[in-house]
Amino acid sequence: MLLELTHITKRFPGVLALDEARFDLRAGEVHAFMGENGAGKSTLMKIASGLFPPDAGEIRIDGTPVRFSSPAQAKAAGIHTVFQELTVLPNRTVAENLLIGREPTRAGGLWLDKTAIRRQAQTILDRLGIGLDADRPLATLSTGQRQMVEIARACSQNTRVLILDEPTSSLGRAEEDVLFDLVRRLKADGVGIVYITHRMSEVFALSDRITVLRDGRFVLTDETSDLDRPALIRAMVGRDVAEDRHGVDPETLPVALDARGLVRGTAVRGADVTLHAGEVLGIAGLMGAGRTEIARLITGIDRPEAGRMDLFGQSFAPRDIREALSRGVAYVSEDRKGLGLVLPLSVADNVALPSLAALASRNIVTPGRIADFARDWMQRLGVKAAGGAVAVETLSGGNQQKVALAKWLAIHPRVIILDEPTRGVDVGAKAEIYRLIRQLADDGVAVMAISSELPELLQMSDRIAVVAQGRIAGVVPASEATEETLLDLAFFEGDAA
Amino acid sequence: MIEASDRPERQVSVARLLRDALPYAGLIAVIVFFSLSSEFFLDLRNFERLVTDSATLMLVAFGMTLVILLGEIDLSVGAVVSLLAVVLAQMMAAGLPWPLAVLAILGIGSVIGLLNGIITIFGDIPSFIVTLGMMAIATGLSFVFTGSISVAIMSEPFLVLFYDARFLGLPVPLWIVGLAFAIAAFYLARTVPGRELYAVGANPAAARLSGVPVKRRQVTVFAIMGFLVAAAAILSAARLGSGAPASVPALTLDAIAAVIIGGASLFGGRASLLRTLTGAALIAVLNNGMVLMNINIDAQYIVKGVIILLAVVLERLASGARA
Repeated sequence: MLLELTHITKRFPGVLALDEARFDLRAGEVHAFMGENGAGKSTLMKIASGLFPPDAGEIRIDGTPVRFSSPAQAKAAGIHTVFQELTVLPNRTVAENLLIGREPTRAGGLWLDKTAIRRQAQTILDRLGIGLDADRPLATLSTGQRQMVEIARACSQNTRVLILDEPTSSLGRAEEDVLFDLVRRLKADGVGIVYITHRMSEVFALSDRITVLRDGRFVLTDETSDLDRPALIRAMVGRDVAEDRHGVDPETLPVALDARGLVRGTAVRGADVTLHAGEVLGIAGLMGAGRTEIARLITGIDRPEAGRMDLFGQSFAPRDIREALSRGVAYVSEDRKGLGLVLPLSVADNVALPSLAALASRNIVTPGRIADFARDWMQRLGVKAAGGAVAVETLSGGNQQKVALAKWLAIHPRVIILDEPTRGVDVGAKAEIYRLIRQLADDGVAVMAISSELPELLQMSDRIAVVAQGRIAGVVPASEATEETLLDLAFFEGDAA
Repeated sequence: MIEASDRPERQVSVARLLRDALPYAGLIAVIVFFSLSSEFFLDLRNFERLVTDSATLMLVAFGMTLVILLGEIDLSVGAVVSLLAVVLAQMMAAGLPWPLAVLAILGIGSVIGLLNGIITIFGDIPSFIVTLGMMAIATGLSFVFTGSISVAIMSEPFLVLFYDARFLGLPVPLWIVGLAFAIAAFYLARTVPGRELYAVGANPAAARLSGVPVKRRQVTVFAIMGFLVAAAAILSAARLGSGAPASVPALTLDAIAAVIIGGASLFGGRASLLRTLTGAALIAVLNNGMVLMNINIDAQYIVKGVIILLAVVLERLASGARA
């Protein structure tokens, strides 16, 4: 066995992050490592890469026990990790980033040998099948390409174990394929790869074995071929998650929002949207098709250059977000950390932020009132936190998303637009969010849900509108839609462009 | 989920503990130190003078707390206090009744703050540049208005009310500071605009998307700062009995130091009035004690500078888990 982690226990103040967890890795295998957010996957891998020591347990490489007191020692032993956060120097070239800290030098280390840097870097890139020019400044690369550079950096050294922490979370389709090729190539070279991800499809396409962790405890390790989707979900969540679809006939519901011919810049070019109270309208489309931009027009963040909107039969032309909010239109941003939440503030302050005026009398609001209000909404949405006073940034992705939802549900919107409502959220929390969305619609709220994941759209929507090139290319009932029909529409090229 | 951290958790939590303890421990330390080293320090009369003398600093530091909570800074406060004291003295010298002069000064101060705010926020210019400009203008004006000569204040009722007078046994400046603290604390903790400031400071984009009128809140804080600077100028003029250019050379430094020692983040989103109060008290005791011990004024700057750097480094280490 290449790498073995046994009986690993790790306690952080207030939490038992890992409880006798274990994981093993063979040379030349892709081993998917799954579990809900907060299950302890990243913690275990950080222990394996020397970021912090375990409280108990043993790490063995080739059967020999080792102790790492720093990441450098783990690297020396051949364990390399690519974390979600990228650590690149944007103003330097690909080559300089690739060889950082071990650049070839001249004159006994007096200056860098630029030619050699470029040559060595290009060799590494070519060997790994990454079609990138070593001379390009990193700033000109896409996030996905930067991720490639990061991986190349990790495996251009004496790598025996490569740990990838959600490598595809910021990648597009084409980039994913390049990544998968790269992973297979490394595997063929005998590298053992730990692949942490939330995406089922990748796990089944790529991995040889799967290990599942739940609440810091080992659940199972199995050959991928012996597992299927439901079994995996059950293992992660510890219960059955209903993956059911819904079907009401939205056409019979009252129209909540009617937008005609919305135009703004090159992103939105004549979009027509009809949203009914009580339905979930899924919004599909490729990156850059104009999905978020349309949402921003409806929610008053941006103003349309042309077109008109009606809200429950009355003209609706919000000058700003405040006006849209006062008319009951809310927007849950896709950028949870940047725009959705104020991370350093407490859960309670985040939940109450848009509702402060409503909670106040004559602009005065008591902290007790805010705390009660937040507690109520945390309960309704099942936010798991030590209390309303803890900072949002300490919560897991799924719980953060629930806080973001709570914040907007608390204003009792009539129309709510959810932009990527389950991004960075684990399977169990996803199911809960779907349930919440459904419940909202059942309560008569008009829900518009933007998502890049087609299976998710098919599961949660009543109808799905596909956005292509700033317009609605088509609307299909979810019960009749398939991933293929949606993709077809998404690639639709308007004839009157 | 434990977030990735470059620094070990323990180091961060030790730094956090030190940062949180700094104003209180520092205050106790300097009090003990000066009590032991100067026979004049532990004396009721000295203590009263210390409190009255620090009123100017307190008021400005409260305003600075709000400004830094937004992630902004105001470098003009010292110069504007001097300018307003000059204008106040000149208005009274010209025969304006003191209550009117006081009201006028409060108005002018608020307008100066408002100007700082409008240029910073609507011009999208860093506040340290805007207020640096305002500092230069205010300094220049106070020299031009006076021809570099201090203007004496003759109004006895004014001098008595804002320096010597007592109400229920306590000096009036102390009451003014207490009132300002209470109002500011109430504003931050219990009013909608005040509570929204934390979100505006920590993440203005998210605050805007939450329906907070971000720019209005930001500009309001600069105006509040201006009002408090004016109040500080009134107390300062009464204490010195005159208005003179560059009359409070260390005030800006001291006010920022008080907020920083109080553990506020210069990036916005975290600041506390109570901790600023403690930080300001620490600075006030230092000022008082160093004078009692006849420490040269230039050496006083060095001591304060070291304390500021210490506080900033601690704050940086303490937020290591998030950086």
